[in-house]
Amino acid sequence: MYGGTASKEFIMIQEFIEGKCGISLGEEKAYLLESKLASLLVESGASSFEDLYLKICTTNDPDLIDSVIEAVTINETFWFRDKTPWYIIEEVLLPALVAKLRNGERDRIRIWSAACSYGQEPYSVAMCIDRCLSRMGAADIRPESFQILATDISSDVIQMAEAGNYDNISISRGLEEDYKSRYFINQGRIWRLDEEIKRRVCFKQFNLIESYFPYGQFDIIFCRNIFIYFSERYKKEVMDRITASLKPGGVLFIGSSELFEDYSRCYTMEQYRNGIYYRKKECL
Amino acid sequence: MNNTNQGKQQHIEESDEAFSNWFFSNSIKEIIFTMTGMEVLEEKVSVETIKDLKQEISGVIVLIGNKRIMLSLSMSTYSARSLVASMTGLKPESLTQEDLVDGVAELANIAAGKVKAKLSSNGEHYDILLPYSITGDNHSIIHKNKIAVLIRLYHTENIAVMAKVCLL
Amino acid sequence: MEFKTKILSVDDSSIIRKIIRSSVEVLNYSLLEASSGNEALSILVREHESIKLILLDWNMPGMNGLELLKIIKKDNLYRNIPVMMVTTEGEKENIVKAVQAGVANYLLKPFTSEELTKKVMQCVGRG
Repeated sequence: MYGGTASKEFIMIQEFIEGKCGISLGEEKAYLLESKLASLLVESGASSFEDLYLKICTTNDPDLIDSVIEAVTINETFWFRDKTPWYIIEEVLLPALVAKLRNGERDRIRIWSAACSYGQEPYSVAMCIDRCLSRMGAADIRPESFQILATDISSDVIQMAEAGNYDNISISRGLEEDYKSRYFINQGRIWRLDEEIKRRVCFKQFNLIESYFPYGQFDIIFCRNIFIYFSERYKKEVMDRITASLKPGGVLFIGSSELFEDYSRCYTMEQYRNGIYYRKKECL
Repeated sequence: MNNTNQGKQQHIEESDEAFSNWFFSNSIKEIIFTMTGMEVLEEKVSVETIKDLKQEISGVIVLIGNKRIMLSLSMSTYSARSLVASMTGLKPESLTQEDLVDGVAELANIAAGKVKAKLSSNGEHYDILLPYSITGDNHSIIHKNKIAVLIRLYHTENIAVMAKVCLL
Repeated sequence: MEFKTKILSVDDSSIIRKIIRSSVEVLNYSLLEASSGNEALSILVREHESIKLILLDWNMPGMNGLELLKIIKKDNLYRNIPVMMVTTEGEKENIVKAVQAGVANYLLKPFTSEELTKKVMQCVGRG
């Protein structure tokens, strides 16, 4: 009854966007699209949004495609989001991983923050590990033993994440005082992340629906609050790729409000205090 | 006593559940999350849930089109201070009354903008008038058309915002 | 005195201007503020040479954002300064009006400070 009828041009652009980055633009969000693509309307010289959509859908221009994807992707911006993964890392995962580093079973631990946005998630991982190692008195463990890869579809967002500078507002979203004072320097209204922590994260631009993933396998993957934006088809494809990128016994964190209905095919669900995580089965 | 309670219950009855769900669906929650970072729970309101709700600052805005819609966001000074502090990254104690009033009015403005855009995608054009604020301990916004009032409560452990929509 | 890139924000809400200040200063730009179209024009007269971007609300008392945009785009001194609307106005027809009047970019409220920073970076970078 409410919601209007989508124009054929909107349906075209909806399919185009889904095909390029897996994102499903629901009709209830259709009203947001024009404001996001306004700058493209300006640059293209098209006389209407309908003309712009037609132009986009028939283009081979990779820069235009990148601009469209960049304009429609949504970026979550929170430090230590959901609280639960962090104490799971500190109290369950890290002790076990540190033991493996110490006994030579492993020489490095690899962590991937998929869709890292402006960097809060991978930097939270780096700070969490740093603080935990310090608390454990693990001076024998080199920080370089933990490799953190952070990827996002947008190169502009990656550029901002790499800079590691945060404004007064974003610094206050989820960051506890002791982390803030320990890992950030305040210069006027800019909060600059400690260089050591910045160095621990490697940022790369990557589109999750791309079939080739050149970065190997990981011990821990964060793939949070991303699936809610994907269409059903791409949810499954991306999840399969995430699973393939996880080492046997590796751990997957998804968003606390997200459902992972058919996890039992490849994962066991484990619970620690109020938190849930998924461990990839050793034998599949 | 029963009659009085029944009478009060009617004030909060929503006339059109489909419209109200469509109208509210995640709009105000999303706005609060985007602008303040706070993840609020949305709750339909009953006499019980709002009996202790302090209303000290309200942001109000009117939309005019096929219908005439008044939207208000009401809250305590404490809630306003928390929300505006989170919006701006400033310390709560550094905010003036003017900041709170401005911030609450702006939240109502943004909510109206979202509603206007949704109605527009439904083919209905609306104009929005400029927002304004009402301040005063325990004030109420009482609509003559009691049946057409839609109310939701948005809250965390610490803050609460009551959103009211009235078709004038 | 250090020369910093200046951004002009025109919005009748002081809270929105405070949010914009955070988003702009993280890029080491400095922010000039106006709460109305007339105030914005006074600032432009004095500072137009150092203003690299104008952030413009639409619905304001007195002169609205679209009217101000048209005035800016008609004036030889200011017309090349890129303008981005930062507004609740999301109706397609109105966005098209803004584009036709010369707007360079558009950001709908609600927005996060990072989103605004990103768009400012894109606008000023292109300029």
